[in-house]
Amino acid sequence: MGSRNSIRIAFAVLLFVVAAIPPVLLLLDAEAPGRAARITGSVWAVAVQSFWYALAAALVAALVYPPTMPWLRLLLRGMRERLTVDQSPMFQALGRLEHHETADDHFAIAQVRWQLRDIGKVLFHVNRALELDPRCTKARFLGAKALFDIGQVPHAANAYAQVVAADEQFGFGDALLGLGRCLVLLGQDADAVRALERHETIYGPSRRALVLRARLARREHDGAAARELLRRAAQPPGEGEPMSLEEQLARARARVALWRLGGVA
Amino acid sequence: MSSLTEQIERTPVTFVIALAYLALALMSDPIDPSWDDLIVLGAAHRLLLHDEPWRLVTYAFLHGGFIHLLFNLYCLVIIGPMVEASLGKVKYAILYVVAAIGGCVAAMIWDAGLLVGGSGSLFGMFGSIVAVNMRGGRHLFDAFQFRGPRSVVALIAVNFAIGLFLPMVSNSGHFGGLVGGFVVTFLFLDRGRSGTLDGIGRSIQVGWIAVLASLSLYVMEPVGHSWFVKFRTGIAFATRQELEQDKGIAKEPKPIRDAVLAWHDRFHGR
Repeated sequence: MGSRNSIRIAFAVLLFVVAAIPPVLLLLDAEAPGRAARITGSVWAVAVQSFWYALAAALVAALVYPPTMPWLRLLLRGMRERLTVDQSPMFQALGRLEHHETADDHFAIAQVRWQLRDIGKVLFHVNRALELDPRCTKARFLGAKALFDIGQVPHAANAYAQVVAADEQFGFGDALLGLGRCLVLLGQDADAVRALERHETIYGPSRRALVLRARLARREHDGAAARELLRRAAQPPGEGEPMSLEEQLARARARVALWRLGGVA
Repeated sequence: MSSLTEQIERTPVTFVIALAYLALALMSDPIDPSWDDLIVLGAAHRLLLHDEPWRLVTYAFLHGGFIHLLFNLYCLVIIGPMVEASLGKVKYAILYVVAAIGGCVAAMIWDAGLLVGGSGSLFGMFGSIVAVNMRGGRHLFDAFQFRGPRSVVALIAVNFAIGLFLPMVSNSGHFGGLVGGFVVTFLFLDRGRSGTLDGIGRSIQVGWIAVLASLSLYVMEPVGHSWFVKFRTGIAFATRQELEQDKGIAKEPKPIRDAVLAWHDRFHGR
């Protein structure tokens, strides 16, 4: 909190310094216009140079900032998926729907629509699939992801909870992780901790889960616990251990958060 | 028709702004208005702001041609109602005005020439959307986990990129409007969960007001304006006759030429 307040104070001081420059120049202009004009030119030249240097520094900082590369790779992967999605299952399902509706066909359409990020159609077909088969867990899981994507966190949490209730290990733990993430955002800390610890019990430590648990620990002002969780999340992968892009991003975020908390990975 | 009436009742300020765009366009030439007409109607120019400071805002209701008007009108009716519904009528009006001032100040500092267009305020609305989303989460950057806020940021980046390649576009005006809209929403119009501010927060609020007021004052007084740098350092334009005969100044619209001469007389009177 101390360093955060120091940054805020420095920012406030900078604002007042910037605000003071024009009145000083105007006062000077009344006494010595030529000098005021020359100083204005110099101040402007310094400001422009500073702006470009700051921009260059920001670009370099963005490149060396650990989460940048995994984030970019995730972005590119998403774009590639959207551009190369095979829509034939959707068209086949649409053809079948003309004669007979089934939950599986609605789910097939929803799945392709999800890959295309057409959330409205995803939710329509998911809802229809669940009307036809309330036990269609895969549709409910897809609906939870779509609801989260559009920011409907309470509804997403509800959907994830129903998926977990039906099958705790659905999606190789993604349902539990999704539930935990929603509960963290909703401030339901105790339930979030339960979900994330359950995820670790079944699947072992996941960097995404560890980062979320660290956030909860910080909310409880337990810096030591947060640092330990982040330290575990920031560990490099073991020999031959595959790490998904999502886990790589979580690890990068853990490294940054750990550094900010004063810990070392 | 009833849905249009309902829409107008829900978002009256957006409707009034759109009407102002159209009315002012019709008062000049909506296809290709002349600079003289635009200046009469309230376009901003560094030399005119001293005596007519309302141009800091009025420029944001004018447009430089049919395509310009159409594009900004389209953006306004798409995002305006959403922002107005989110902030409320009064705050939305404040947002439009403050973003317009921010855009004008940035454009007057960075660029030369005449400024018209509502896009500074429209960028301010984008900034406002980002600010509202940031304030809506438990942590400031939670919002970027969701599609909507990410899409807004991408839209801002794309629009800036487009502006870099189009002529006659004031990217500094867009930037000033974006920053103005973001800051006024983030610090004043939508405090989110933050509640009351501490002393440092209040200082930052006052600091931003001071910066906006100070820079607005600066653009109204042409200290350091290129013509006046030359004038003040005694290089060329030392006499009224030279100003009147200068080829660069002769190309400007009459109100600008008159303003240059008025400034010359003002300085000589000191």
